[in-house]
Amino acid sequence: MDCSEAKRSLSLLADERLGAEEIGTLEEHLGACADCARFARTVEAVKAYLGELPCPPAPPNLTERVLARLGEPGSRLLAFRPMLRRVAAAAALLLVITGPAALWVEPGQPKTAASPEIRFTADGALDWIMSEIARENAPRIDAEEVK
Amino acid sequence: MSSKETDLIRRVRSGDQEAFAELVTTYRERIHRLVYGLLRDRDEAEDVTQEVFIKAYYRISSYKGQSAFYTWLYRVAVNAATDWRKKWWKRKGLSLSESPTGPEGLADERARPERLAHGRELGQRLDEALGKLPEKYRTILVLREFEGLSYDEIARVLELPKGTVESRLFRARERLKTLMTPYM
Repeated sequence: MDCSEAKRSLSLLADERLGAEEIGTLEEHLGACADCARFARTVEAVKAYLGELPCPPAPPNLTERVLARLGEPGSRLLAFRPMLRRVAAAAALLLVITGPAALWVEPGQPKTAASPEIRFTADGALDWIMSEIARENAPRIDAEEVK
Repeated sequence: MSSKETDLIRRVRSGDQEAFAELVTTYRERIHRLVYGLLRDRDEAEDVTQEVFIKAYYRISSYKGQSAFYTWLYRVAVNAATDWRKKWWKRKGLSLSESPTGPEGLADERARPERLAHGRELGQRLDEALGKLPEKYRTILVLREFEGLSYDEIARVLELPKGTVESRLFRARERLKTLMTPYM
């Protein structure tokens, strides 16, 4: 077992996902490797620290405060603010992309909003806006890590 | 999910605030605890917890019932806490993956093992190191170690494959070990 395997095993052990056979091999490695032993101590320390971290109780009047805020003007806006920000940015981009195209008129070939190339650009931008809206409710996923 | 909860959600969708109050009362401690674990600031945790429930109320139509309601609510909470931290870092002119002194900040300091013998000192170092982790690593460690969620639950909250949960936890612990090396 090398250090990389040992550290992965230690992470699995912390999450109770390591088999008994692998634990034996891991213990052998830890006896001979100070760096992995340090990794093991860190994993244990953070588990103990976060596991026992005290948390203050929620305010007793939280429910009332939430309900009061629901009645305030702008509370709906708060819920959708990040999404609106993205949509506004996308709309601005759409204008930048399609604006010049809409103004560009080749001699003898007047272009309108119905022209295929303009429609193509606008459709693509609209698709992007819709994907931004959908993304708002999705978790933040790091594509690099997705196996 | 209980039929009572399903009924409450259906009523909230039609604008019933009394039904929503019941959901808030049921989940307020869990959500507040999660947000506090992510932000580690009592006042901010209270404000963000309120925001979580306001967002949940207006966005409840996006809950399709494919997973447990609390999983969806946890996701709203994780995203709200992440957005809050982004705003906080932005105000300070930093990116989310940066820390005020950089990841090397702790390692550059002189280690004082005799003082760290005290658990509180070690806790303080761990707290600082956790604060220096990139958001995605701190979040997954809080979900696992503070909230005690299983890989399956974390995968559902973050909508990640289980393999990614495993590798992200491993990378988070590796980063933490690098930050804590002088003190361990």
